[in-house]
Amino acid sequence: MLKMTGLAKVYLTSDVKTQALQPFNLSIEQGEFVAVIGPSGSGKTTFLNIAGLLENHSEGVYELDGKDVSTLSDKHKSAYRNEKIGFVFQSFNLIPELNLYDNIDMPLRYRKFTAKERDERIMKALEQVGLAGRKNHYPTQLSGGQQQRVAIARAIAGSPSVIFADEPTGNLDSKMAQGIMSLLQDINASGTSIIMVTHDNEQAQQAQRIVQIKDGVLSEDAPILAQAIA
Amino acid sequence: MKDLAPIIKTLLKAKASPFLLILQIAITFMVMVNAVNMLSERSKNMARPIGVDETNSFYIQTNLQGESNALGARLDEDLVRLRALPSVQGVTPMSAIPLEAWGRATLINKEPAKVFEYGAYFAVDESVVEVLGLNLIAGENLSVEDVYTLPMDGIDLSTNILITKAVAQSLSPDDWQQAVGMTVYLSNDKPQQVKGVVETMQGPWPLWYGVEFNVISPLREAYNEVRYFVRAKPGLRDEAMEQVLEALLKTPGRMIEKAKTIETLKFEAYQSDRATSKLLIGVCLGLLIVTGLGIYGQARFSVNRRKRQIGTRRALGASKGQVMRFFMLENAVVSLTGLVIGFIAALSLSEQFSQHFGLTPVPLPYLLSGMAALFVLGQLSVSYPALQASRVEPAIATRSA
Ligand SMILES: Nc1ncnc2c1ncn2[C@@H]1O[C@H](COP(=O)(O)OP(=O)(O)O)[C@@H](O)[C@H]1O
Ligand SMILES: [Mg+2]
Repeated sequence: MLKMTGLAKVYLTSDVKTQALQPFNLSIEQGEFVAVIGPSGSGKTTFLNIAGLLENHSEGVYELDGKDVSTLSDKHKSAYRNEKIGFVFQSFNLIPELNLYDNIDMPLRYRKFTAKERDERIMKALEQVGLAGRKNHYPTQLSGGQQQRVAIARAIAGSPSVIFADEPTGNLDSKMAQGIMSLLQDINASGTSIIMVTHDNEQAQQAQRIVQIKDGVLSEDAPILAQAIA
Repeated sequence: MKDLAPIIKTLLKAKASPFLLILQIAITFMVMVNAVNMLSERSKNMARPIGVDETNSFYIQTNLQGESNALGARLDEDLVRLRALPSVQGVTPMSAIPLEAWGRATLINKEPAKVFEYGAYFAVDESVVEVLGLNLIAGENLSVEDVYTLPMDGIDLSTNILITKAVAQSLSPDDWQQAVGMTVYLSNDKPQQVKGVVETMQGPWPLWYGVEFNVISPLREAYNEVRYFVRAKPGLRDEAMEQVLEALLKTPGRMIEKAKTIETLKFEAYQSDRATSKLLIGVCLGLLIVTGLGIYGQARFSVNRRKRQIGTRRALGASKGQVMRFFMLENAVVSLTGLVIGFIAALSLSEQFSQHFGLTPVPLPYLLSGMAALFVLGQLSVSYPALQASRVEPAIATRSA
């Protein structure tokens, strides 16, 4: 599903050059649950952004569903993110002026769904995260854990093939965090790939695979599918 | 258009800042269309014909000297002398000059003591039509037999008179030509016989609603102050003015109070209008600039404030174009709301103006093109901030900055 070969990322800001990711190889198959761990500032978000088509890589080749992403236009990438990818952010990123229903509707509006189909998808997603009864509430009326559930509902409502989650439990206490984790497990069980950044080793153990990033160097313990290129 | 429903919901939730912008757009529109209407009304007013030969004519205000029973003879001497000048085509004494802002208002009644219409009264001699260059369109011209000479207040006599077409239409709305031969009563209730109708001759007060309602009476007022309306032979106006002044000043004790071309008179008559017009244009431009900047500033602010939200929309699948369209559409909703409110406000302001100041109500094409113009201004003002919004990186969604 996802194949990165010699991929690297360099940030150039005026005179400073940051090698955020050293060249690495990595493939992820459809349906996998991959945890990305590493200390803060090591390049986890950078990796996730590149994988999720939010940012361009500097070197190497990234093939998504067999397509070299560097050939895709902004419009194509946007459409790909919209249809095939779900995002879950550390700080939820819900739109405060819209209620839960409209928040989940937001990415669906860019699809060719009918109003009825959108409604069915929104309600199904809300039910899946256990918040169907609060569809008219606004994000600020919810706890952090509930807001993250809404964000997950927003991510799954469009039936993506993969969900990218950047420290989805980073702003939550451990009880709420566990709720989010089991929700992600359920979603993964139904065939959706999940790539999740976390700083919590215990959470990472719940994934099938663990990718580690340290100072921009990506490595994997076992099974060794990818290797850091020295 | 996909974003329309959420945009409206968001605006309704945000209330204050869009509301202020809506108000500003509404007020700008209301003031602008009414101001433009006034401007066009003014320029239409200025373009109206006085009815006289404007390019070749001038007038002199001067004195007649002697006992009051000798003033008629003095008047004759002046007229004979001036009419003999080679550059002069004609001269008539006038009790007032069109647009001079000085003259006599009069009632124009169909029955004695029953107020029918207001207008202005001009006392002249039989040559008025030729000298002023009036266009006689019905009835007959005044003749020497119609003329009286009096020290003042010829209005107290019954005479044959000329009226303007505006008066004729008012007296006989179905067929204005029927006004010829009618008897009318002026302020003193003496019957006057309508002998002829001239197309136009404006009264003394250009802004008065009765400016076109004028009565021309064949009365030479030999008073110690007179006005001579002089029409020069084509192209000889300035020369004629010199010769006329020279001829008049041959009389000892002569005082020239005024000597002015009709062109100058007309220019001065609308001086304050032009000043007001400039002011109105300035106010409109100012309002447009402030509104444009307001929309621009508000959009810049909202784009900066919503960077993370924009990044999230981009991350969740909005393309650059869709983000740009989102802001354009949001502004269009705000602008249109303001314009609809402004439309209603402009109509009622226009209604007030037409009731209290006799202005014509703002015509619908003005309102519609004003709406279109302001809408375009708004969309242009928002286009740069919208472009900036479209350039927000989707990666912002994951970066906490
Ligand atoms: N837009 C950027 N411009 C320059 N440097 C960046 C940018 N984004 C991230 N970095 C740098 O790249 C490195 C990796 O950052 P990040 O991927 O956010 O780490 P993590 O998510 O693991 O905390 C850091 O040194 C960070 O300062
Ligand atoms: Mg990070």
